[in-house]
Amino acid sequence: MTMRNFNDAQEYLDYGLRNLWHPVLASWEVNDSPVGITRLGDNIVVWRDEDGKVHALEDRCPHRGARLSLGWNLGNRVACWYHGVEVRFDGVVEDVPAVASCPMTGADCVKSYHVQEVQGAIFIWFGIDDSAPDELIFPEQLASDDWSSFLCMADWKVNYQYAVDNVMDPMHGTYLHSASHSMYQGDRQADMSLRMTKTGFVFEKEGQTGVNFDWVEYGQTGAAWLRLSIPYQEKFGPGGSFWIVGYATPIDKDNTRVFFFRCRNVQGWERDTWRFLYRNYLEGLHWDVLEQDRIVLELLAPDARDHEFLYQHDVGITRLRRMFKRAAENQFGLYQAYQKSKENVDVVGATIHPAE
Amino acid sequence: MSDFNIKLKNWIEKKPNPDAGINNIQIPGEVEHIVWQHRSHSPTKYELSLAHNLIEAFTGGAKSLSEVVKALNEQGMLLETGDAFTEESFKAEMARLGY
Ligand code: FES
Ligand SMILES: [Fe+2]
Repeated sequence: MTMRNFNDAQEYLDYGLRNLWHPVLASWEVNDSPVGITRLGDNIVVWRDEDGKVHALEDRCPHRGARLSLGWNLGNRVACWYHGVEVRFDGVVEDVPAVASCPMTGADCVKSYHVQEVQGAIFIWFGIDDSAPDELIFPEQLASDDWSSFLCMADWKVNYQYAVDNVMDPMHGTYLHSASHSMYQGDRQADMSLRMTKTGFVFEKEGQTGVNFDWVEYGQTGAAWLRLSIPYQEKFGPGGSFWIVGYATPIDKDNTRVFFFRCRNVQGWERDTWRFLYRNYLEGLHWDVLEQDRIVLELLAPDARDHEFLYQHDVGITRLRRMFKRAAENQFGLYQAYQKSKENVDVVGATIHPAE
Repeated sequence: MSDFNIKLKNWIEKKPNPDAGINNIQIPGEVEHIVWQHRSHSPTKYELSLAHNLIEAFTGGAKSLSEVVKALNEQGMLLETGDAFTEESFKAEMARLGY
């Protein structure tokens, strides 16, 4: 198994926190052939078996390192395109067809990932070690049947920490999105305050709730999410405010895939009407707003985060950064220790005793 | 830029493909953005005009089911069959198109 080594906690953090579920793909991206992705710097092959169940392995053939995602989808396993080695969903090599008997057969050679497909997205557990994943719990907007949602996805050429900062910054809505259809209201000045919750914290404009993008919440419940709501204009139909539950999944150091679930509390004909309008009209408007964010972020000054002058509106950002930094320091040590423990295990699973 | 999501159309028939060498690798930074992620075809004229008329109805203050149906009919928006909307047919049409 390959090992990624980080020089320090900051580099570790730049690739994303682990011991979390991260959404990695929309369900519709995994059809009949394996898909090769990079998330948190790991190359991963994702595929569906005959029953539609999704599996994920490190995207690296144990033989000579070809990407397994180029190979055959054999249902419960994939076969490498290069020389045909077959690797099962749990990482065990099932067959090496090119040789009569090979010690690699039956060995656990490839890292496998825990996967679940929920709400139209594929989530992978990025654990530090082999312990069981945490339960993945969704905020009410995704967990409850009273709500209806669409998943919007985009890849941005920035480190994920910039994408998170952007959502933790409610004040930008009144400026960056001032010409958009839904975010033009609200004072252009506000005092901000921070309030702890059971799963994270809320950062809000004082006395302005329900006007525009007024507050944002960070929560960690098996996955790290951000939540906010924005008033919708009446002309876009019944159902009240528009809610967003967002996840920023690191691709690598310089790229991020954002997952924004767009939710409304609608039922019956109101739900159906919203979904019809979304598919045929609203999705285009929402995309335009999201592009405003992408453009600003991708064109930020180089290493923008290292040369900032933060003020009172940025308290949410600083708070979250401090939490992430502490988590990274903690995880970096655990990760190194676990990788070290794996160093003396060879490819067929036998322990090597270098001292002997 | 496509005005629908071709992959959405395909993903429901997800049978393992017998062929290898199909390059489905997403290279970091090589991005193809999909704007319309939730529809599997370009909207028809009928769908576009229904969306337009619904927004006009809501702009005019229609809120309840009966107000919306009344507004659509006043605007001259007809079902694809050529019939005027009733509350029942409107609900059925929204259930069909707003799955
Ligand atoms: S590299 Fe995969 S079988 Fe040889
Ligand atoms: Fe924004």
